[in-house]
Amino acid sequence: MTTTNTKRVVIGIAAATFLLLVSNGAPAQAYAQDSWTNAQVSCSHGTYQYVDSSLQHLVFGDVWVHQTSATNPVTGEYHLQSAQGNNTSAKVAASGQTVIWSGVIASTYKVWHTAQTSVNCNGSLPGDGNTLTSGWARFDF
Amino acid sequence: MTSRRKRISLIAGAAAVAVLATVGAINNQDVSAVPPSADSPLFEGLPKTTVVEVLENPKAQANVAIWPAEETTGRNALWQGMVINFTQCRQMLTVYLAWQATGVARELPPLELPANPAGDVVRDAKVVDTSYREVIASGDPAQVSKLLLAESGCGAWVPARAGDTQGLVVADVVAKAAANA
Repeated sequence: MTTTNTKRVVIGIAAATFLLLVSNGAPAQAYAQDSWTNAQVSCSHGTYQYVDSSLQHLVFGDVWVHQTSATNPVTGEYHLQSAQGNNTSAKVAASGQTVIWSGVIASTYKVWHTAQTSVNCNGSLPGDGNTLTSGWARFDF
Repeated sequence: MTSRRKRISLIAGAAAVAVLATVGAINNQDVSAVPPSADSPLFEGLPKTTVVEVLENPKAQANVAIWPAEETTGRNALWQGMVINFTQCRQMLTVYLAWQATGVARELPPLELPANPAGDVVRDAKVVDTSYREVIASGDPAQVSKLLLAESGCGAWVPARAGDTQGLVVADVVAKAAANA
């Protein structure tokens, strides 16, 4: 390795270390984020769709879910289901709101959505119809 | 009304009913899907009694019921994942109770995996298996109880005794043992 390359590596490691530290010196928690845009979800309470593409939550820690928007005024009721069938409680987020689960065990999760209450998104057509929603989920790892 | 008009009205009415029924069915999403049999190749390599127990468990059935019927791989991976979960959850309970009683941490038995894994079931099972082994290696039994008592953990719903869906779940037993420690 040349001297220039060595310097670059050292600077890179220093920069990465700096980014991993917060002001009190504790390591910052790393997280993975998955965003969904225009996910089609039902406006009927009790009909579920998962809105993210499975994220691995690799440490015992927090999970955030944020509903950015919905084309109809549907308040989302969200819960996490792990690949082993474990579930969190359901939490409610209207557009612009974030919900957090603390002490979630390490596993792979999907974020499931149902409407908190049924909303007519279908006008005069039968059934409640669907709405397009966007948001994100953030997992510690 | 002439008979011709009556016939046209009946046909139009029937067509309208058919259209409405179709739209309704689309909106309601038919999520019915036949669960696999305990003898399915899906469960090869997994303990048969636990397979039967999971297939009959109402909460396990409810977990799968929210999945779209057409996502066969996802549903199958979840069935396999739940069998692994039931097995390991009770193994973790045994480790915890023995640890409390003797002060010695037993090793978790090797992870039992299906011979015909669906989707990412092996990768996902290894994530949990690693976290279990890490908390046992921590030397602190409270780390094990924390996982088994967590809302998102297996202890919240896996029966402490196989097939006993009306009795205590693993978290209940852990809570009692922790209180008596």
